[in-house]
Amino acid sequence: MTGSRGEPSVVLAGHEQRPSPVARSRRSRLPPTLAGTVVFVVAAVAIFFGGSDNVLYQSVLIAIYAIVTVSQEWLFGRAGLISLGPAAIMAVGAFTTAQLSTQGWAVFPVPILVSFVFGGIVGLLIGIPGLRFSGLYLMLTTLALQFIVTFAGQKYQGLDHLAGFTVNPPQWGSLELGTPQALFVISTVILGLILLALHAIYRAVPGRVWNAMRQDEAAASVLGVNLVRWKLTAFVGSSALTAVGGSLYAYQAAQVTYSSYSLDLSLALVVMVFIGGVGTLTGPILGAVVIVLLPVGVQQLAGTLSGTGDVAAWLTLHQAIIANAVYGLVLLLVLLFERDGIFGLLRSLGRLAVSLGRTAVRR
Amino acid sequence: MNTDLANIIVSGLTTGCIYALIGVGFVVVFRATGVVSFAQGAFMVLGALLFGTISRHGGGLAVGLVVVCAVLAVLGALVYRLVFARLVGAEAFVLSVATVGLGTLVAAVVLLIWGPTTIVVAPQFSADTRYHLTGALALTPRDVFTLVLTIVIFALIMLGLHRTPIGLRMRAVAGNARLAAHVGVDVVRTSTAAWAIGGLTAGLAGVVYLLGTQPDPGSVYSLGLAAFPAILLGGLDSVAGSLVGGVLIGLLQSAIGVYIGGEWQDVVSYGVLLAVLLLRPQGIFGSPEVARL
Repeated sequence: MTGSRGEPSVVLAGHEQRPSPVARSRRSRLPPTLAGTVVFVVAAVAIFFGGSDNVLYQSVLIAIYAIVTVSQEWLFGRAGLISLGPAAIMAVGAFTTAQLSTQGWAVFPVPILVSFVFGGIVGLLIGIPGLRFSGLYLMLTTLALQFIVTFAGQKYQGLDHLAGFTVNPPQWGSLELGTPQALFVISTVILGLILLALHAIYRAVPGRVWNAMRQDEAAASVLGVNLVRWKLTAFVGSSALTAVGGSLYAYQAAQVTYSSYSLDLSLALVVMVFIGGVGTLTGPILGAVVIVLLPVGVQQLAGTLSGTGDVAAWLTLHQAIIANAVYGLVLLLVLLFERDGIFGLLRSLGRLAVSLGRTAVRR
Repeated sequence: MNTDLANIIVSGLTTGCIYALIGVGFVVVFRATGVVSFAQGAFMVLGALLFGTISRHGGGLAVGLVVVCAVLAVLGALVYRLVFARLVGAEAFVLSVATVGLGTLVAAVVLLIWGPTTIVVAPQFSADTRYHLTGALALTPRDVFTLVLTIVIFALIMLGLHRTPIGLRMRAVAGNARLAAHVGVDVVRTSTAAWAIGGLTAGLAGVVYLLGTQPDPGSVYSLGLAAFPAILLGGLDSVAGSLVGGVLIGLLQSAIGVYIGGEWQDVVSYGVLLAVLLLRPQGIFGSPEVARL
């Protein structure tokens, strides 16, 4: 619609234009990589040594969703594209993993690597028709992909595997890697590697090319950027990583069934990236935290209110719907008032605290 | 004409009418505000549930239709004023994501009020009456109602767009919103009207769907998404296209339902969507510029 970001296509009296979130300067005084890495490592170590099995389970889930949301943010925040089918790509990785996990030759990291490759291939197949035109068309092709993968998964499972396929736990010789502890280490390490790799890519030439392309396609094109190729690169890359998330999800659940990778999950993932904050690597991770902890929170609330009978029962019965209502409402609030999402909110609070602190010191 | 073919035509036409009603609202909103709306399904659910409640409390067809139209039009207008008027100038995909959030919110609130159980409606038409046309081709009163309602809505929208001042303003905003604003068109008011029409037609689609079956809210919601192949086939920015695309996809789906099996319906129509994207991305009637947006 608009050539350059943050520039309104229509000038309307009374409707002030906010500068686009992603266009805002991303620089801050602390080197964000260092601070982020320290927080990430400290949190991981603390959870590993201090967390119960349940906490570990939730944390693995957060790490898996974070892999997916971070790779979706690659699309939204860098390339300015949108996919409505991340769950479908996850399903590609999950089904691949389910099939390979029962093969003797495919020792542990192999299924994840093959999922990575297959995810990329599906991204290429769906990206070629979707990216020849505007971003709108990628939205529709990925929506089609979502329906096609759900259908294919259903047909593939057929009547013989109604409950889905079993995933054998990862194993190295006699070393069991399917325990909560092992899965936590595996998923956290993979997430960490992905974050480092993406951070490096975004700071190097590709990041700048996507930045230019997103801000003004025409200008980038004139400067010699092959738009289709760069969009395709982002989509294939993010699909490959999303499939890795799906592969880990299969290991975590020890089972794969098409119904886990629904359109609802796709939309929830997309929404979460925006709620967490587009334009940073931290935002999508916060989104993943919300996606996992919000239903748990509703459940806890129901538990606390258990004395009050009806309310608690109502909350328990409707927790998924309530979570949906909250996602929808928070997303609209984020888009309207704080386009940098929870990350932006936390950053503003941090800055406020710092400036208050300075004032106090001066006095 | 054999019975299979007659069934395909009748059920294809009525399904097609539902897609067309979802699609025309989508097209009007897309043309006026450039928003690719994924919220049509949620508006449908609300329309269907409202109508179900009214009918079970003794309200007739006319009362139900008027209330649904009024409520959904107001909701559509409100949504534009509260959300999308404030997002003018945002990237196209941000607007679409906002409609996803809006749809999720509306559907969730509706489910919290009504519950996720099957929507029951008091019978509105005699179940036994058949209007025989040629051969095996026979219409139930409900089929007639669906066809007539769709034709009336399309006639009103087409006439409105081409013969009234507000229609002229809408086409001006659709053509070039900035220019329209410069020559004194109140873009906000025009877009509000477009969103009201979008909500209203989606609500009517919900009512029409409800009259043919007793669906659960989830399946009504996903029908809003199943309409995309029809909308794209007709052309994202063409009112006539939404009717033609809707009817074509409706006929195709009912043929598949009869000859292959119901579970193939959605996947084949999404296959059509992919084919359209590869061969003719602007659809049958859409303008080529839309593909390049």
